Amino acid sequence: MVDQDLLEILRCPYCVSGETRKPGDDPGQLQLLHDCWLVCQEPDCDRKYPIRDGIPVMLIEEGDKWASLSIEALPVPPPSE
Amino acid sequence: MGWIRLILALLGLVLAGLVIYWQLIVAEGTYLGPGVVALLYDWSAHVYERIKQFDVGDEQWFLGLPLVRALSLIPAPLVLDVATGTGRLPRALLRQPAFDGRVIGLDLSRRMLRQAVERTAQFADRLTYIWQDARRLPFDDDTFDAVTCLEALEFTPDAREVVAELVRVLRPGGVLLVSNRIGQDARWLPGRALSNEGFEQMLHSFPLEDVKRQSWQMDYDLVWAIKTGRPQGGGVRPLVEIARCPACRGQLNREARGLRCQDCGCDYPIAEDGVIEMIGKRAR
Repeated sequence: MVDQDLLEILRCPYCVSGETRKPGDDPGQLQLLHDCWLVCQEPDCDRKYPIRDGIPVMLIEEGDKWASLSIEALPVPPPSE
Repeated sequence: MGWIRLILALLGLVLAGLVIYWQLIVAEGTYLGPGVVALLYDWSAHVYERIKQFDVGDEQWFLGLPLVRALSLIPAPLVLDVATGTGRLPRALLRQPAFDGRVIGLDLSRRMLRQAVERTAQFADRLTYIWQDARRLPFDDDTFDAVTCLEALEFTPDAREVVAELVRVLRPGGVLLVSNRIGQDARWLPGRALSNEGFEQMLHSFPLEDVKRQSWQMDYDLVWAIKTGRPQGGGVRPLVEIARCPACRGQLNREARGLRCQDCGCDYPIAEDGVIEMIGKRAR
């Protein structure tokens, strides 16, 4: 289940953790699109994480896959694995 | 000398079998990388619960009950279970009648999560699963009232790296519950399983206090700890979130001079000395 409570605490793993953590108080915030995509709001990140069967796929490699695609071009719903 | 070659070949086969058994069954693929660990769990997801044979009583006694007690002062606590597998810990916790919080379960094996969703369907409204690697947790710092990670650290490339993430997302004053591998098999996990002393030393290199080890199973000890620092978040929430109208239990809004009920319109003034006066004169 992905609701507002979850969105408030969920972040882009690339931008919030490890050596790639972005500066600022609360980096890697995500925006929910079409109820099935989580888009990282950091200016130079562009990673997009699909929500499949109600489960956010927060793997960095998965986010990479969709980074080059514009928000408008994202398939809805995201294709299955 | 044909028979010598035959014996050597047989010895080679046995040796290869032992190495494969060691790498895939005992070490669960940990020396071959997290991708292999996840793949092995993907393959065995459908039989995992049958192999583990979790005992409901044990799960309540060792996990559910002590966690609920540790969180008892926090209204609606938020719990993260890393390497949640088939949802073992979420189940233990949500079965506790006193637990009124939410749980987020995270795992690297997608098929284990599928099992988890099925096996915890009755708790779906308070449970969320996320597919991600334990080494990069997708949450802001100081978010959770409790963070748990059971039977998993020794199968990650670097337990310290994972614990650093567990501690990062745990709020000060929050509860950490992890397990350390012990017993016979631990010796076959060099560089992965840590001694009790080594494990506690590693935990003490993080801002953790009150580290306590507890016997649990043949192969695992439980280790509890508290994140140091002044408790914030969690139990300390804005008053309007936790206060309710004593007349009708409606939600209260903050007004200029007091609190007003959204539902029945009752006003509760805040006196000059800061006391919220919920009994006494009640103005509309």
